Amino acid sequence: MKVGAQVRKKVWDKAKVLGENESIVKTLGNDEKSTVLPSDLLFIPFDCTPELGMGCDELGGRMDGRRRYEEHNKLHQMQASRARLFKEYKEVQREKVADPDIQLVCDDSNIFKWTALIKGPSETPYEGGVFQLAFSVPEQYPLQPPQVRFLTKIFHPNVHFKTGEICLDILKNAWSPAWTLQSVCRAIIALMAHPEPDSPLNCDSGNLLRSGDVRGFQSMAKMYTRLAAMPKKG
Amino acid sequence: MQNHDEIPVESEAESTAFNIDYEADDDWSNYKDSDVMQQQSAIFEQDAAKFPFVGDKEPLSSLEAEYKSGSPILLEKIKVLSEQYSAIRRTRGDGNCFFRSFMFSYLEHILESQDQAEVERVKTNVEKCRKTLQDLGYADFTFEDFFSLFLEQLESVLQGNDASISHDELIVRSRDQSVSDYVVMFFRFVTSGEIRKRSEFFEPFILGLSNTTVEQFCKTSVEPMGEESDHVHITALCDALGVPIRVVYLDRSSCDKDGGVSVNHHDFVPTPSDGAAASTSETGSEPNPFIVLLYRPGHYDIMYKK
Repeated sequence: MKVGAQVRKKVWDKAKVLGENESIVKTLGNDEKSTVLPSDLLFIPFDCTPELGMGCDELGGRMDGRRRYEEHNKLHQMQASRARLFKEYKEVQREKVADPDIQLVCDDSNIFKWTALIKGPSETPYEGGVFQLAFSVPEQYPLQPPQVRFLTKIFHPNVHFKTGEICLDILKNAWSPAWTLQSVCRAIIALMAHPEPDSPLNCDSGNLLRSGDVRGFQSMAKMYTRLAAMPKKG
Repeated sequence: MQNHDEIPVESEAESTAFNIDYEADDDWSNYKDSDVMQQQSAIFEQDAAKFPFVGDKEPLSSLEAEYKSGSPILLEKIKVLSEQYSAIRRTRGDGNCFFRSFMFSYLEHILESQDQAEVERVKTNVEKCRKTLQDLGYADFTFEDFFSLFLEQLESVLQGNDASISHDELIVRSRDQSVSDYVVMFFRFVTSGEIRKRSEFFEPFILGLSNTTVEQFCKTSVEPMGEESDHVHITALCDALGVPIRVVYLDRSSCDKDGGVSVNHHDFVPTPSDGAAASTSETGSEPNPFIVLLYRPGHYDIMYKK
């Protein structure tokens, strides 16, 4: 094993340990825990309609027709998205081994909030770094895309330097339910390896690449990877 | 053992981490894409309040009224249309109008005809589409909810079972986003699967349309909601489900025949991929699709024959 790879593995193991301590990644590296579902996952079946007494009647006494209908609609969508996220949760547990570059974890108490740790792809300035992503899943999921942003600072043309917002078509108008939280992570790793400087959110970074200063871009990106996404040298 | 200071993702509180409480001020550069998207969806919602996914059945004269002071060719064509067609049902122009029109038209046809054999036939094709997606590597959980919702609707328009619904209820459901959009998405999956399965056949058409690869086309122009449909989509859906579709074109092209104005139409007839559908499509020399859609550049509505 190359020294670099060893270091990376160490970093990754550290990240896992941290995850446990932080209760972000509760299910990582602990097979017993991984079978325990977050309490919020006790989902309502998709076909459970408000008529069965779980819906808008409880939500507020007398509503006029339109509001009633909207509440019904909202409830229905939430059940659908919850059921879907539950399936993704089970899939994530299964894929953990298959995709070692991605650690996707659902919030303990809210299935609409997820966190991911992704490894910077090799042969890029992000190599060796571990980046944290925050997912916020809308009630209309999977018809609507999840909102994803970097929590770890990253110097990349398509990531907002201040907010961590990501410019990626599949998170916007090219979203479809065929994508999953897991495959979104894969797409973000691919974006890290193949930046698109022509539609930059980080103009400084985009301009470096557009002017052909690959070396300048790489050294900046590498510096921020070291500062923000790697353990500090003791 | 573990020194927390060394851990990379804990840097949240440090200067290198993003400030979560970051607030956008008046500077345009601080507006997030999500703000833009929110504004966009707010505009869609405003439009939505104006017109339902599927409108009421209207006499063809309402179409005529729309062009009262418009092109004489269009008025002439509407007159020609009124010889064969009696009514129109409009759908919302949200990029899903073809699939939405197809959905309502098909389910309404089953509701009125109670054609058990057609339901059985289409169910067989739906299962084939499921297999197609699985073979293409789609994870089951990404599409199964959409499939089961469509099959549910199909079951419910057949009368005489617990789930049976009336025509009024069909309209209510078609206007209910959580049903309507799911069925539209089902058709998008089916269409995408068919195109990818027969990518060699569709490739030249797609190249002519968008100059992208088949896979890219499916990812950007078929699977996402709100992406408009073209003849490629229609051909694929028609073939996948084995349902013929007639599209009547209402535009300002003057297609003179013997000095008079005529209206173009095109029948999309399923091409049997494995002989199974051959019996239905080769029986009559003149195809007579029960689904008729009116195409005006950029939009599809449902037409009713006399």
